[in-house]
Amino acid sequence: MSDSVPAELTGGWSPLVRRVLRGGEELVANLALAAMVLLPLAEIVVRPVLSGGVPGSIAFVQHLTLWVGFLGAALAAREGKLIALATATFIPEGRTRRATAVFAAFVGSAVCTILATAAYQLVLFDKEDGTMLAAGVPVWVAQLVLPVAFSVIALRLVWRASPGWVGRTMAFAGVLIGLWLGLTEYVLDGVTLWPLIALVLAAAVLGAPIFTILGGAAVLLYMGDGDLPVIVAIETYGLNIQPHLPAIPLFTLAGFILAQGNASERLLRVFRAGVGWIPGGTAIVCVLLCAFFTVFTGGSGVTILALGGLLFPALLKDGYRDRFSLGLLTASGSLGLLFPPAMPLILYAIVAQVAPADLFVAGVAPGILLIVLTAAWGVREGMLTGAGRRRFGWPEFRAAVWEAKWELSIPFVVLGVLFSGFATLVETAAVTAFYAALIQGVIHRDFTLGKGLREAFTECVVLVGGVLIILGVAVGFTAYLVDAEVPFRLVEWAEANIGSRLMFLLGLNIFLLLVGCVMDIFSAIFVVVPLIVPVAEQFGIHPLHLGIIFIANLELGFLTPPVGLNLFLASYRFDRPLLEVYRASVPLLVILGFGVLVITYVPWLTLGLLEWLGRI
Amino acid sequence: QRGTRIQLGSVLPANSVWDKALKEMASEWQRETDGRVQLRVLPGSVKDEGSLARRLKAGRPQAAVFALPGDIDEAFNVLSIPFFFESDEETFHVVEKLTPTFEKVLADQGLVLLNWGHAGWAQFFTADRVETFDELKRTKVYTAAGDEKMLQWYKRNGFDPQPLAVTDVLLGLNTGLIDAYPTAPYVALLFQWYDKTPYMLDVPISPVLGITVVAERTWNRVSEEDQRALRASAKRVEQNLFRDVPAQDRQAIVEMESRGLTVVELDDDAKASFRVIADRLTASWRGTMIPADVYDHAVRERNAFRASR
Ligand code: NA
Ligand code: NA
Repeated sequence: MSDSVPAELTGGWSPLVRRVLRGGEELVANLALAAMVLLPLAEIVVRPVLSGGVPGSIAFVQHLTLWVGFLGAALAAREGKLIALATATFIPEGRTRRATAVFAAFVGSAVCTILATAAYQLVLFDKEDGTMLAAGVPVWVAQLVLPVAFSVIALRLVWRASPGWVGRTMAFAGVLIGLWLGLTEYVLDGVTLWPLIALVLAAAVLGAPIFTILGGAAVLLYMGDGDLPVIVAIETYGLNIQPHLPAIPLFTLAGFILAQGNASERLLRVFRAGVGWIPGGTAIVCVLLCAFFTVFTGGSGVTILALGGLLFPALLKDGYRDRFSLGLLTASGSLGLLFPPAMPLILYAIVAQVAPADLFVAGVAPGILLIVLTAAWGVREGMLTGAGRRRFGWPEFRAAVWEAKWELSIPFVVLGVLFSGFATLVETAAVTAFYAALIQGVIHRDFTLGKGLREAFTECVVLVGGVLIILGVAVGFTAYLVDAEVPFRLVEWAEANIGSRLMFLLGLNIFLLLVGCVMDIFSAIFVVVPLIVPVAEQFGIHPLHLGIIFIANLELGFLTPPVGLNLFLASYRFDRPLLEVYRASVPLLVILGFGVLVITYVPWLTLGLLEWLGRI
Repeated sequence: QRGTRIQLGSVLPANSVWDKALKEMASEWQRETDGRVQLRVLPGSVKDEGSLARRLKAGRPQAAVFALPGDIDEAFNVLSIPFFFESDEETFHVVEKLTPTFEKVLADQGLVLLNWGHAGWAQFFTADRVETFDELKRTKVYTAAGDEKMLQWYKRNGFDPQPLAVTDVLLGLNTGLIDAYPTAPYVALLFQWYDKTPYMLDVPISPVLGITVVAERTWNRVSEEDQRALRASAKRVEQNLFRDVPAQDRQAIVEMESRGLTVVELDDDAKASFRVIADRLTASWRGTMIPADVYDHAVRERNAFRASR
């Protein structure tokens, strides 16, 4: 961003000062994340010795998540990585593109400024009440990160609006309007809202970050009812201190540390040696490897970005057709979301208030089904094309397994620690991140510890920040729906209009497919789950089954044109036109769609293992 | 003219006895004021009571139920001192005498006290049979993460508390991270926690008393005549709740006993020695977790009630 600005315009900022500021910002975020790893580890060690464990550690880790999330969001804004609808990329380059970018930044920074004033109000509330966090630290100090991050993001949206000062000045008007709306009490009471909401939606279509749609809708709806926008900030804060939330950055960190090292190469060798002899073996290898990584990195599409460069050439070299390979990798980028400890499972457990450990068990069989179906498509391709197969050899398999033994032990370590009685979910996540760093940085020495970890930490913070800021405002939007009694009305409507369980499930499948087209999986969980849970309860659907249906269905959404995230990422990563990616993914969309129907209508697949274990 | 709309937020599960009582109150309010006051009950609308207190301050919802009012003001902690009260009668007597104090601390925060709610008595559920204080102290007992004062109290008195998020209780029980927890029988049944803790010590720890409050600025929009009717209705609901909740707890215990729960009854000697230690422990709350004057007042009223028996 600063490259496009002539040096004389950056004033007295010497490059050194700028570098220190930039580095300092990353350092603070990375230190917060490091503390999130170390505190739960200390807790495990100290607990048997010192009654009560490390004083206040759970409260501190929860608030560190708030810091990591919002410092990460500010960093994402600096790098232009805040998640946005990809529709803006369709706008032709040139004058129109430049004008729409300024408009998007104008609306986005206005919303972000209102959110900053709301968060500032929250800080004043807790300062006045004198609520304490632990060990003498007041809550308002921890909350300060919210108004600061929202303000910084608003300014960064303005800065990135345009390379020139005219565009930036126009975008900056958004900040002033945001200040006026945010600081004038009851200014929108009774005002007709739809033009404003339409403005926010238009800005999102033209490239404003997704969080500004949900956050904008939330603050505007509350303000239109004569309420204060601080309500949205209260909900944002309330989400970020949810007890299981810290597990998400920690597991994601483990994924990034593995990606930073050579874990993917070692695992690729194992899977090749193990299943490469089957027709379509390389395809199966890709499916397994992608699933393994997605479990840790979540449905963020990171898998395609991180592994695409390794796997696409491997498939082509082994004689798989181009379109098949493109489709397979596009779809594989979201396989694995049903296996523990994937991010969507933890989020669903938080929102629907079910035990994460139970949801982990519930996802195993449906997850295997989707992998088997995708692998079967690979086998078919292997038979048709006679793509390269290798002979199975014990010596190579043994050698490959031995080389990758540490990486292969990770799933056992995660589940072992979780069910051992030594650790909670968050502590297990911290152990996983620490273990990944130990394997990649110390045992294998894939990277120099300082540099490698710093890069993995920064990438993790930016990704988690981009996701958490969406979730943070999505809960504000959901809170409005609850206050407007929408879930209650939905139950009434469903009782009157939906005749049977079967009809409900079919309706749910279609509804979720549509949701998946327009919403990312994380916002969908936060906005839609609270609405669906009471209705599903009415039709006797088990909440764990509902969770798996929900996530499996939204997995499809990653592949559904026009806005499926995987489609865009694949188009970007493999440098192919979007239409070509659409066409390549259609067969897999059909196959996975079949799998989702099976998961929906055969509850035993989800609940059977739990019943057998005596957990339900 | 449109009536005064009041939304009531809570963390209570929908369709719990308490939630049902509030909905009953809502229809009474509608009826008795001819729709001039409309109460909308939103159970489970927030996830934690800290957020609820902030939301109340922000102006929406305009009314709320707090099951742990100690979060609003320390004076309410007097109700949750372990082993301070022995029975509902004793508790109600003290609550009645202290109500002016409570009303005053709420008024300082712009809130009006409408009525009291009851979610049953907390009891200790344990994995192994427990009959004495020493045995109780050897358990790994769950305490709510973030409740630093309760944690310190346990530690000062030689317990082995394990701070956990409430969502981790089931996992903790399954893996042995904790093997004891205090809770109302209805809650142990609802969340299926009792599976791993087949013993319930029949010494009541403390009543789980909550409050219904409404924002003063909303309340003042209601005419005095309507206010009187609403208060009377709230009082009736409170009385019904205080009648139904103990029954619900008894029913929960019977249900759990049929599925293998053992209620550990203490003989009179054991009870007496329990009481001696308990009295010493409760005194440590004075001035640290409860304002000293409130604590002294409560002790005076409780002892007077016991003496009158
Ligand atoms: Na936890
Ligand atoms: Na506690």
